[in-house]
Amino acid sequence: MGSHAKAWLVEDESAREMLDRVLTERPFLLLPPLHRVPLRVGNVVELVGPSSSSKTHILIQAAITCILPKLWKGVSYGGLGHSAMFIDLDCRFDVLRFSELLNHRIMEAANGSSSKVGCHQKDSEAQFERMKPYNEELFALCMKRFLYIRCYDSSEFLATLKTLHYRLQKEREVHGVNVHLLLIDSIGAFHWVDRGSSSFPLECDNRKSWHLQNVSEAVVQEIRRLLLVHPMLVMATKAVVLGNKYSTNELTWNYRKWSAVDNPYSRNITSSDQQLPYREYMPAAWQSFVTHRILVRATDDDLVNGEHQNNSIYLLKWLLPPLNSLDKFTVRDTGVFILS
Amino acid sequence: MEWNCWKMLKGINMSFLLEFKGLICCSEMGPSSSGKTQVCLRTASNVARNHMVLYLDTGNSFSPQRIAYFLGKTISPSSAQAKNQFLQKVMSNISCHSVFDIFAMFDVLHQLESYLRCQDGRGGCQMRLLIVDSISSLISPVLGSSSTLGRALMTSAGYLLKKLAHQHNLAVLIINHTVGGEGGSSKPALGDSWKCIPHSRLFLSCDRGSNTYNVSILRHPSMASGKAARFVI
Repeated sequence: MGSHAKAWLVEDESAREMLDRVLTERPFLLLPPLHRVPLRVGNVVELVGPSSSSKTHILIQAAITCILPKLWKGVSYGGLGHSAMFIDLDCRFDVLRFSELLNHRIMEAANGSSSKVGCHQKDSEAQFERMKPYNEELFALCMKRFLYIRCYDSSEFLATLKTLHYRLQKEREVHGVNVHLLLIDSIGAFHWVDRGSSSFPLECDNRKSWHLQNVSEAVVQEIRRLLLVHPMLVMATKAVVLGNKYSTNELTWNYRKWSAVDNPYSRNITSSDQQLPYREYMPAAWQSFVTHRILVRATDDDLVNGEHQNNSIYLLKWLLPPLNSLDKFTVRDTGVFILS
Repeated sequence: MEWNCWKMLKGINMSFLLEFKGLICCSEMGPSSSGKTQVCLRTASNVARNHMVLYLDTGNSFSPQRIAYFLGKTISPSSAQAKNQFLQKVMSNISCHSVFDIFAMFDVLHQLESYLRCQDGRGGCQMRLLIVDSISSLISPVLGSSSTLGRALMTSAGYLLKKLAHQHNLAVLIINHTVGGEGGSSKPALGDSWKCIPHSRLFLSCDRGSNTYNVSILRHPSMASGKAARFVI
């Protein structure tokens, strides 16, 4: 009896060993342009912004960083070497743009390493030609790690979430890598459809009615369950309408009308230091699930970059945790590029 | 399937290439008489040479004579009979439906979906283009300010079009109007909820008193917004 009790007190590992283990298995991620706050698995990041403010580009950038390997045939790509799962609710994902960005990143890393060795222009070109079949092999490997699924309504989304565990398990067995990133493009995509369908109640009493609130709670519950078995970083985008002072093209009455409509599903943020520049429309279940929130929007300025390149500049602001800094970035062929 | 929009609109100064990929919904907007219907008719006449086209007309603006005119300009002079045969073949590839409210459009789209599901896999002439001229006249009557059903209908219509485009390799071309905004500037109709639905958005305008039109990109998955070009029809 005494030996059993003593066995209880013997430790498995010290706190320092545990910290070392956790930091190697679950590293902090610093993804530009979200480099201000380190992100870890289990965090739920929400990217908020009006239409066409490069939110999807930030997701694609994160996915590419995730699927690239750290080291491949002597060239350092600086990726994580894990799989990424992209759930497309907006159904606007352009796979050609994604492959373009991936190719540019691969070529940039390959060129970067060859220039480090110090070869001449001719040598680096010849080396690039030699590396081309390697690049295609690497490209194919990376694309295999990118999982994509698209849903056309909330019931398909819920069905996907419920069966995602088995799919991820299968991927883990086939490829031997874990899924590290769950990307949801536009979590509020079916908001209006769900709100509209709540006025049609189901006939039988024992099923839950198809309310916006219920759908959101179910989504959060499924993602929570999934995170228990497959620890991942969740990133979701959300399209919002910014208030009057942020965009000159919005009619004033539009914004005021939205504030006036009584919506029992969204929480009113009344504290003066947390004035959101947009109207929050997601139900409270989702709002409390989010751990980090970022606001992006396009500015009217353009970055003149050569003859035909005119890239617009975007502003990024951390809302949760609230930071006072504003980051500027632009989107190029190689991805998101921070300006300041 | 990829084809170049500007190859179809001949007589234009190409300053850049706009590609319509087979899966993308494209929404064109512009003030009145900015050439939107003309662009649609021109596109339809070019695509109909080899593929089938469905034209959903909400304002009786479809004109077979104009399509015949576009086709007549491009074929080489030959016998009247050969010309007629060619015209007949191409015109039979275009089907035009008049829809005057959103429920009629849903009806037609669901019928199209079941038709395409049967057609998939069989060879021959496939449907490749769906034109909706114009979606704002279908959706604006249901978009009230207090009811949520209008926006729900608009979003479901958008998703149905995207589903058709993706599952059956269609290119969908949608016409939208502009309305007056703050300070006299114009903004696209149907509001911000519609902005999230099409893949690419183009803005058409017409120079007063001349035949030249301007088109600029408002949103595109792989091209920077703001690029513009001029063309004549």
